[in-house]
Amino acid sequence: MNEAIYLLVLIAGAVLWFKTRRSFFVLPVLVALSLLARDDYYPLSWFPMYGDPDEKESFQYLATFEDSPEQPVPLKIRDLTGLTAPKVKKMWNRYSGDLAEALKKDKSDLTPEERNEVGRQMFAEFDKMAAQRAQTLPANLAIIEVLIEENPGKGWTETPHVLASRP
Amino acid sequence: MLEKIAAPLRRLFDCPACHRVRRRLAPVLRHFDGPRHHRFELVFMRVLFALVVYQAMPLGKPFTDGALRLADTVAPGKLRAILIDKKKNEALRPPFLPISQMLPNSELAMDFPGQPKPVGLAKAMDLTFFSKPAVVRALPWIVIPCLLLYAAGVGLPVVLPILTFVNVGSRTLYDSQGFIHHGYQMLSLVLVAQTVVVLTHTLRGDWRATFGLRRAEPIDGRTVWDWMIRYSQWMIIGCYVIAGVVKPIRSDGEWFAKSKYIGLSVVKTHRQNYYGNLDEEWNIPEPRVAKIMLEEHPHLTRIFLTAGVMLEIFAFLALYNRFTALAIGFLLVVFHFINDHIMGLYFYVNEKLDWIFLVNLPFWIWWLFLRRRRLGQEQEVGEAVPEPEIEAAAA
Repeated sequence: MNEAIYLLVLIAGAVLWFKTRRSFFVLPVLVALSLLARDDYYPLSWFPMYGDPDEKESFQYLATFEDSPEQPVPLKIRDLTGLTAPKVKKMWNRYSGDLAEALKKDKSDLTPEERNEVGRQMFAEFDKMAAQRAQTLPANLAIIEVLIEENPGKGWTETPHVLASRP
Repeated sequence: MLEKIAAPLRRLFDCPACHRVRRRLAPVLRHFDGPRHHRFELVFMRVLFALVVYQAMPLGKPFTDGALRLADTVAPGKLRAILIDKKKNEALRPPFLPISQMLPNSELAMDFPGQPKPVGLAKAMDLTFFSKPAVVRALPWIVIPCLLLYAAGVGLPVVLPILTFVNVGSRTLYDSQGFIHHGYQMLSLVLVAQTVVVLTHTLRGDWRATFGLRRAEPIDGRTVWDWMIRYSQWMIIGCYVIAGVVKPIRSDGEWFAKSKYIGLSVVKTHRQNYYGNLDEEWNIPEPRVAKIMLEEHPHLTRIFLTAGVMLEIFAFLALYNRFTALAIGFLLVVFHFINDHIMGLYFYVNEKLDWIFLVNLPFWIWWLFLRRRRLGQEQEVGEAVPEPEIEAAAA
């Protein structure tokens, strides 16, 4: 439904732009085109950041561990790979979204084994990026997700859990 | 088929009601086409924009810290000391950018061996050649002469497509790694818009002007330079409007009610900033701003954040005239500063483009100078002409 409206705005804007030659009408064209393209056609973007605030938030980071991924030691991912923590989350969303789409299920329904498969793909990418910077990542790696939830009257709580790990 | 769609549209466009609306809106829409620009404004804009494009280019070493090396040869260690000290680096902020952001340093070279999650241009072609050492070595030899020609206003129909391709191509490769970075879209859109304007004018026959071989003549009331600036401004404003309208759309209209939860996002960005490089500056167990947003003043938070979104949605009013461009441009700069200050969320490239194309300081300095001079002249004239009563009294 939304897409139909964007398309209508796009066509109307384009017609008015060509017909009147007034630069104003490039605005609805650009806005509608960007909303249709989302983040799939650089340089167009729909800038989705902070678009849907909720009582739950999350972030992810890369860690290593000795015996169990439940006791993670965070890594300086920026120095090692050039990536940042937000990019780890974006990669997780993209990779897990693609796998879930291929399996025709929701991202949140991925099994631990499927999540580890996503993790394996990402760790391989991290290894390549580290190698480009003449760095080596530890053999034991884990992607830790921390859930931030509102705790009325007390602020918020932060709960970490392991999304994927190797070996 | 096309005629079937076009005929009713034409009828709709030619109806009397439509004529009336068009007549009423015409002067307003003409306003939005922008002013004629002075030559000095165009030169300033071109030079400053060329600097921003240079800063965004993946030229790698030695261009990533070229300014620092140069400063070290002139005054060893002085600039380095300023950049290391956060206070000194941000001495001009607000309203200006950190000093490190004003230096002519380029971006790191691309080092992505693949494009595992292709977007845009990468869906059609392999852009990993931007990471090849030979290309990285060749890029400065292509980009820097192009930027010099751009700043001089010469050869734009050749120079702009090259700069646009390098910028859009390399940034597309960057965004094809599975994560989308939102820091360069505005700059790339400005480059695309300028390229389209210049090529359109070239094809329409004004190629001598677009190549900088003769003075540009107005087409539809404005020269190619005016149109270049106006469409650059529309791209900048467009990015804000998109970011504004997407909020009520994504949240099904609940953004304003739920906006206090941005407090949780503040916690998130603090943690993300910390976990990037385990930076102790961001290791704050309970960020104060998050407490204020979630617990102490949720309603004030809603009003404050809603004002920010309204500024984004109505940012297009900036292009009504020069004064609205100055006022809204400055508000957008303040908006970026607040985001940076509260959340550590910075969009320096966008801020730079706001300064160059919206605030446009050179014009306002010139305007103030002219006004002062005119006032001074009026005063002098007033003093020279004797008042009749005084004259009569003297007689």
